[in-house]
This record gives sequence, structure tokens and C-alpha cells, in this order.
Amino acid sequence: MNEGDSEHAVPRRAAGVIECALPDELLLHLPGSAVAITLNASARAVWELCDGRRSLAAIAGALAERFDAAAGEIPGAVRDAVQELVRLKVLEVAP
Amino acid sequence: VTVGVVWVAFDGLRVAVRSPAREVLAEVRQAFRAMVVDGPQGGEGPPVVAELRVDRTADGYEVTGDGVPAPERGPLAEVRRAVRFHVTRTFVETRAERFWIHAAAAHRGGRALLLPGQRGRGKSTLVAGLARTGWRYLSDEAVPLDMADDHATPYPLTPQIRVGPGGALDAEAVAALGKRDVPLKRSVVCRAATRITEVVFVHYAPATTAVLTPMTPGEAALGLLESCLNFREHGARAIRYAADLARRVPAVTLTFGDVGAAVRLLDGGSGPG
Repeated sequence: MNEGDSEHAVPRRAAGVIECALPDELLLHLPGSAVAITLNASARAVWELCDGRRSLAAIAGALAERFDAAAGEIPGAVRDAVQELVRLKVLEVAP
Repeated sequence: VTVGVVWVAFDGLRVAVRSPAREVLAEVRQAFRAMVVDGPQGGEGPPVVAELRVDRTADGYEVTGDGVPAPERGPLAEVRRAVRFHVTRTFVETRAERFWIHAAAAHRGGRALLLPGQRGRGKSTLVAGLARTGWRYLSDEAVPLDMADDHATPYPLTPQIRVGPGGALDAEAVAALGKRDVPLKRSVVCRAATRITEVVFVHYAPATTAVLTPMTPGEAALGLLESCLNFREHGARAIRYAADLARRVPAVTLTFGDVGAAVRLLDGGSGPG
């Protein structure tokens, strides 16, 4: 199982990540790395809920209240987004 | 042996390129035609931040000097490329407070275009085309931006365009192509720092219709960072600046196969700004 697979996993932003808000997007950079990434509006919404307290299930629940998407699609989309951000080292996951 | 010198100036600084070979001095003068200044009179003049030297060898030439870790040898064209690189590197390092970007730039009236693009994407061809139709030339290779106000200081290397067969080429084939200078009248060269108003990412694609495609600020910011020549020096500051610039000015991708069509498209305005 990968980090971020379990609905009980609690993602938090990696220390030191620089955030630059753009219209409908967010630019992220982890100091010391050569990587910068941009998040679109939906990935940004996931990111903003990754506060080290909410689980993936709680994040999906919060997004389901906010967005008009099929409820069944949101948990999978959240898991995919978190896994990608963990891979890019801007998120960490406590199991 | 008489050793001649060419002084290359930028933003109140100078680099000296010395050589006993007249052909080398002629090439260096040509490469930096709009940046060459007279030598100091009586020891006065802007500070000299580096000295390069080019000597003849048995089968070519050799470049040594400040910022050249090991002698670089080759034929005249290769030596010219090395001198152009080391002079630019010196100014990038000396004016490290700027956000230096691998880009061309031109301005006309109230518009100033920053034209980033990877090697072989048509920056020089496009900016030379713009200069032929009334735009003022700032650079075809490196643009130093003041992060406080988005002003680009002219870095007017002599534009060079690749001489090739046309058609799609991979990066290696592009790098192997020869280059020729594009002579510009001095009056075409912009001498004043100019605030960038639009960013146009350049993408030459043979046999395509010229088209402008709007970019999101996020896409533009990433593109600016990819083209930044001194990201290591700035780190987080460069990230914030790229985001700020992308928020402030419109950005588009220009795909073109014909430079005339591309210039006409840009003349019509490229964005909401």
C-alpha cells in the first residue's frame, strides 16, 4: 500500500513549502529542490484541506459539500491528488 | 606580438577580451557589436569585471581567463561561442540581483515582449523579424529583469539565427546547425530599460500556421522558472517573482512556422494587456 492510500491517512504539508497564489491556481516549491509545480483549482482545494488534522475521508467529505461532483468520484480523486503530491514531496502522510 | 582588446559593456560594467589574433577581435566585435565601447582614457572608465584571452594554437584557438575553469579550444566559430557564453555568464554573476532569463525581447510603443524559448525554438528568428518591422531590439539570448518593477535592461548581443534545411529537427540536430549574424542598425537597438508588458513563449514548428494560445498564470510562471538562468542564486525569491510577473502580465504561447506571419500576429496584439 502506498502512502495516502488509506482513507484514514492524514496528509500534511511538508515543512518549508513555498506557496504563491495565482488566479485559480497555486504555485508550490520545496526549497532545495529544483521542482516547482502548479495546482489547478481542484488540486488546490485538496491541498488547502491537507492541514495535518483531516484524514483523506474527511477531506473528501469536505469537498463533497463544496463541489457538485458525483460523491463516489471524490475519494478516488483526493487519493490520487494526495499520492501525487506526496511523490513530489510537498505533502507528507501520517498513517 | 601586439595584443588587441575589445571592451564589452553592460550596465556600467566591462569585460575585456584580449587577443593577438585580429580575426578573433573582429569576431568578438561582431558578436557584441552594440555592446562594444572604447577603451578607458587615462585609466578611467567603468569597472572591469573579467578579462578573457584568446590565443592561437597549432590547430585553432584557445580561450582562457576569468571564469574559464579550463582552457577551451576550437575553431574560430567555437571560440566565438565560448567568448559569448563566458561574457554573458560574467554579467549574469555580477548583476546577480536580476532575474536573468533565457529569452529574447523587443519593444514598440507601450508594448514590450519577453520571448522565452528553449534553444532552437525560434527566439532569434522572431526577434530579428520584429526588429525589421519597427520593433526595438533588446536581446536575443539573455534578458535581465529587475524584480522590483519588471524592467528589462537591454543586453543587445548581435542576433544569430541558425542556418538549416528547414523542417523538424531534434535538439541535437538543432545544436549542430551553423549560425549567421543578423545585422541590425544601431538605431534599432533599444538602450533604455523597458518594463515587460507581455510574455510570449516561442515555439517554432515547421509548416504550421501562426497561432497564439493563452496560458494560465501557473503555466507561465513555470515556463519563466524553466528559463531562469540564475535560479540557484535566487531560489524562493525567483519563485515568488515568476508568480508575480505571471499575475501581472498576460502570457501566451506562439507557435509559428513562418516568421512573417508570426510578426503580423504579434503586431495585432497578443493578449488582453
